[in-house]
Amino acid sequence: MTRRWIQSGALAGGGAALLSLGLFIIVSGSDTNRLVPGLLMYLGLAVASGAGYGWLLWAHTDRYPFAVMGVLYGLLSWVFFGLVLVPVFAGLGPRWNAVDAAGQFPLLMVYLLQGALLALALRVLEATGLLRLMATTRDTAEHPTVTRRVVILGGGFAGVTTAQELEKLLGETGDVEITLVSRTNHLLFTPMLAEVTAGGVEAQHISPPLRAFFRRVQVMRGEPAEIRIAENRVLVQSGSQNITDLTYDYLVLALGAVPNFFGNTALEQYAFTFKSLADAIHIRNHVIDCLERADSEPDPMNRRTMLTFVVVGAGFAGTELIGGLNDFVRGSLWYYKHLHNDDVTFLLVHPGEHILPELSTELARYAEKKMTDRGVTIRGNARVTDASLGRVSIGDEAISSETLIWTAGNLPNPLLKQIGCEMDNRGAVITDERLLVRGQHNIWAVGDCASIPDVVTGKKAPPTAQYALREAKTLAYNLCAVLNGREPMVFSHRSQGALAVVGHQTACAEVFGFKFSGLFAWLLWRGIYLSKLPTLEKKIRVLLDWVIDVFFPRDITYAPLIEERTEAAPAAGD
Amino acid sequence: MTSIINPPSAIRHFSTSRLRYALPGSLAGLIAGWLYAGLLASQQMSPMMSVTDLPGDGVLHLLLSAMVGLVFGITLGHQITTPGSGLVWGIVMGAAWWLVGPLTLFPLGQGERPDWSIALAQSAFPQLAGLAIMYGALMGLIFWCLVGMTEKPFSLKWIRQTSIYSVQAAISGGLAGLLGGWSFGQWMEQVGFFPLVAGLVNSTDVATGRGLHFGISLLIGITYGILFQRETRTPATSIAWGMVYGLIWWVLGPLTLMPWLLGQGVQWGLGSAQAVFPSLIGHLLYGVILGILQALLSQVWRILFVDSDPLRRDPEGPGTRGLRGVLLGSSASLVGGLAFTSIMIATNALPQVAGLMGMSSVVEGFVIHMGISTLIGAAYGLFFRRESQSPFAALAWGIVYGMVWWILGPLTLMPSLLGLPLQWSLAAVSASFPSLIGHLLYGVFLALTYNRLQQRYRAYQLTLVPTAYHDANVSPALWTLVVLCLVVILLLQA
Ligand SMILES: Cc1cc2nc3c(=O)[nH]c(=O)nc-3n(C[C@H](O)[C@H](O)[C@H](O)COP(=O)(O)OP(=O)(O)OC[C@H]3O[C@@H](n4cnc5c(N)ncnc54)[C@H](O)[C@@H]3O)c2cc1C
Repeated sequence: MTRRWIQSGALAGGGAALLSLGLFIIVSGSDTNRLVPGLLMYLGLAVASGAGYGWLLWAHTDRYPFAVMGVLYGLLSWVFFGLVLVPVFAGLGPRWNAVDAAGQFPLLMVYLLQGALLALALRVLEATGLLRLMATTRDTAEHPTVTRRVVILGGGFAGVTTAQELEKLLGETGDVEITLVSRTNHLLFTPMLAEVTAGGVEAQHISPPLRAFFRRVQVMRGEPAEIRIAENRVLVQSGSQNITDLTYDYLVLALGAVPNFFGNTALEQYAFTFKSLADAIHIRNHVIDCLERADSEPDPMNRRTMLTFVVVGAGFAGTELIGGLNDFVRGSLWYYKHLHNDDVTFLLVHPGEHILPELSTELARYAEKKMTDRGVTIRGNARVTDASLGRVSIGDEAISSETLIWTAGNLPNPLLKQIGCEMDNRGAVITDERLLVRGQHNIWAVGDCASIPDVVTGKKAPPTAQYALREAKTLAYNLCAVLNGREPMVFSHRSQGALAVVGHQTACAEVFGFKFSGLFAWLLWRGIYLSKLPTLEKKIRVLLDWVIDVFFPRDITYAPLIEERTEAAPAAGD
Repeated sequence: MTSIINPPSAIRHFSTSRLRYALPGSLAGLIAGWLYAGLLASQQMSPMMSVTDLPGDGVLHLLLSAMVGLVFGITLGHQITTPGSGLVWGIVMGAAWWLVGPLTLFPLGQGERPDWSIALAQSAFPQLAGLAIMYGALMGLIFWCLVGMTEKPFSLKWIRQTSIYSVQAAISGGLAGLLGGWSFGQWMEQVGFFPLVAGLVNSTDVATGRGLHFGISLLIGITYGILFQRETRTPATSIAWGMVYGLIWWVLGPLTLMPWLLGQGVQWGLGSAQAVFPSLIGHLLYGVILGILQALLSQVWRILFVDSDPLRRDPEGPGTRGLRGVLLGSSASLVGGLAFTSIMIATNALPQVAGLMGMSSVVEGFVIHMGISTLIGAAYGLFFRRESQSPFAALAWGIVYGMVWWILGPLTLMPSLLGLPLQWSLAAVSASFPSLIGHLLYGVFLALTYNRLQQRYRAYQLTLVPTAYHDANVSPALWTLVVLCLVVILLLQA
């Protein structure tokens, strides 16, 4: 297209020059012989300036009256050619002064006319469709319109980081289209999810909107309804009716994991999951509701049932959640005059020897002690096997409780099953060490939904945010390499350590082999995760939340839910 | 990308939308021509003025006026939505007619061959002043009134609303006018111009002259505010408006009203224009200051009392864009500065620049020159970042910006800093002509580079900033008027 504009600009420039010069000669009756020597140069410059006009400006003219623009351009050409370039090339040297310029006045008039005619000619060419006829086949061949499309499924750490890095690496390259499909329109910063439940941080503050991350990546809110890898396309459902057909050249799977109840339907029915923002808010509201009901419950047994909270799973999620909830509930008791600290039970049930299996035994033991001191009962080597209304079974033992929170198992997103590529026994897509899905040439996978060989440990890369981020960076590099015909690289990351908050102002840390705990670890946790939280705005909001949390008592307001509506007044006469 | 227009529909669209301006256009042309002829008759000039007169009389003049008005209505009528736009498009039409009529057709009609030489243009200078500033401006304003009256019924509410805004515009315009007048007054003081002004009330007292001068500045400021209240949305664009208004008042003041009131009749001849040339520079500078201040003041007013302009909120966080503008502007200024340097070297102007800092070598001059150009480029990025939406707009604003800095820099600030008198005289301006060329090149290169650099943020911005805000369709007129300024300066110089 640009080429066509340049060509027609040059043509129109030449024509306009001839016409305006001819007009000048006819009108002024100038001696043509005198003009001949400079004629070729004049025409050459006119063609060049016309080409420049077509190249730089014509595409942008529809907003302005074209004749005016032409006149302006004429003035500039006069200054540039008539006053600067030509005198210098003619060996006249720099003689820019008013008198010389005045001598060029007729030329100024010619240039103004020429500019106006140039713009007019281009407009006529365009309006009559001649411009289109001038397009050659070469013109289209030069600008391949085939854009390559990268579709990323999943807007979690892995997906977002891939898109972000890819955008950075590709820079201005125009012919790659990136689309990110996600169920939610925000990125959930999971490490702070426990704080939302405990009320220290507002829900929106840990979930920056996806659209804020990107310039060229297109964000699409929706769920893949069907992934047809044979046809290289994904059907995305957004809303109840709307299906969008996305074709891709490269597909990235970053759909994360979903809670896994190992097929136990009773658990699935009665347990809370803890994976999303809605989960966090649901749990929080439920806990506040328990406190409210217990406060007016006369029967001490029932009251205890309401105030018994069972968390299953002692990974980061479960441990941080129970630590935070424990502080929240015990810290809020003074609002409830009928409740006593002894009425409250927090039970952490896990199948292993120690909590926090990602940390060393030593630190895990420290964490256990801290938590026990604060009133959390820890039940190791145990499994929750059944649940019903107001009752939780741990092995043979039955416990009265209205709150069961499940963080014990995660499975890769079941959506992956329909794709039909190779998976491990958990259902994760198996990739090679370059993150390419085994047996595929254009499908890549990262994050919790992928089973990725860790070349450092020789095992599989663990399903943590830390790894997801690094994998995503490698993947972005690899995609960019493949797009540009280079070799992709091998994923390799050495864990930098782990950090876990176990309760108010206490944490355990294992960083680069150093183990420590207490306030410093807690500050470190806050510092590191705050720095990792995306967008400055959210950082500031969370920081403010933390400051407010230091100076004010616990907030026991229900978090608003979408389903909740203010009830209208009953109709008159009722 | 292709915007191939389907000819039949384009023509149909053209005919329905534009032909309805034919009648008001011709009518406005006729009335303006009649008033203009009246003015000339009172000066004992024939309607076409004596210099290169067409044989004929008032009837032919009126006929031609109506025809110009007709063309005006059809081609530009749809652009006119405010008195300000009427005024500037009218002047553009007047200037165009000057090229076609007095410079081409009239001589032909008299059997002469117009050679478009500077001599011819100079001899037609009175027509330029008369046709562009008087006839054209009048026609534009009258056209606006006519169209406004037929399209907008005047209701009580409308009048109340308009008068509230006008009072505000008058207040900020008046304040801006006073400040601009103060800076112009510096020069008048320097060359002893005040007694001349005092002559208007038959006095030679400096204080009277100064009082009158401030009175006039106030008046110009107030009318500026009222006429252009809708146009002066940003200080950047308002610069051009102010400059144009300065030009108008230069013709209206020292060339027309003042000699008339002093009993000398209008003085549109080249000689008298050359005699008051310094005050042209003064008027332009006054206009620049007036424009900036008026826009700033009304912006403050708008934010405080009308609306806080939520559309302009920076989605990336306050200040991000401004900062980016500054960065990109100063980077772009490297290109502009180097383009300018070529001319500075050619005219050996670098040592003089070094003199600003009390130094004298070429290298020092170059460093200082690049430093200044970076600052000016940063200012461009800051203030013109919203105007630089297309290469074309960039180009035009580059010319405007270059010209403003020519007036501000070598003519005004530099001599002041060096402790010299202001360089506004004909001779001094003539001497700094290369610098004008340099400034224009600087502006154009700066603006085009800036536009290029800004491209990568553009797609992003276009979705956020409503680009086609009101003044978009008037800016071409402004640019043309700046060209007119340049031509006038050139004519007077030779
Ligand atoms: C409470 C909690 C605390 C954690 N704390 C830590 C920690 O402190 N440190 C650490 O390293 N790791 C932590 N993790 C683990 C970490 O969150 C995960 O390893 C990481 O989020 C994996 O990233 P991902 O992109 O693979 O998956 P996810 O972040 O889960 O993202 C999956 C994305 O896919 C989208 N999606 C899912 N299904 C569909 C669908 N059908 N259609 C469309 N979109 C869909 C989701 O909306 C989501 O955006 C924690 C996890 C939880 C739950």
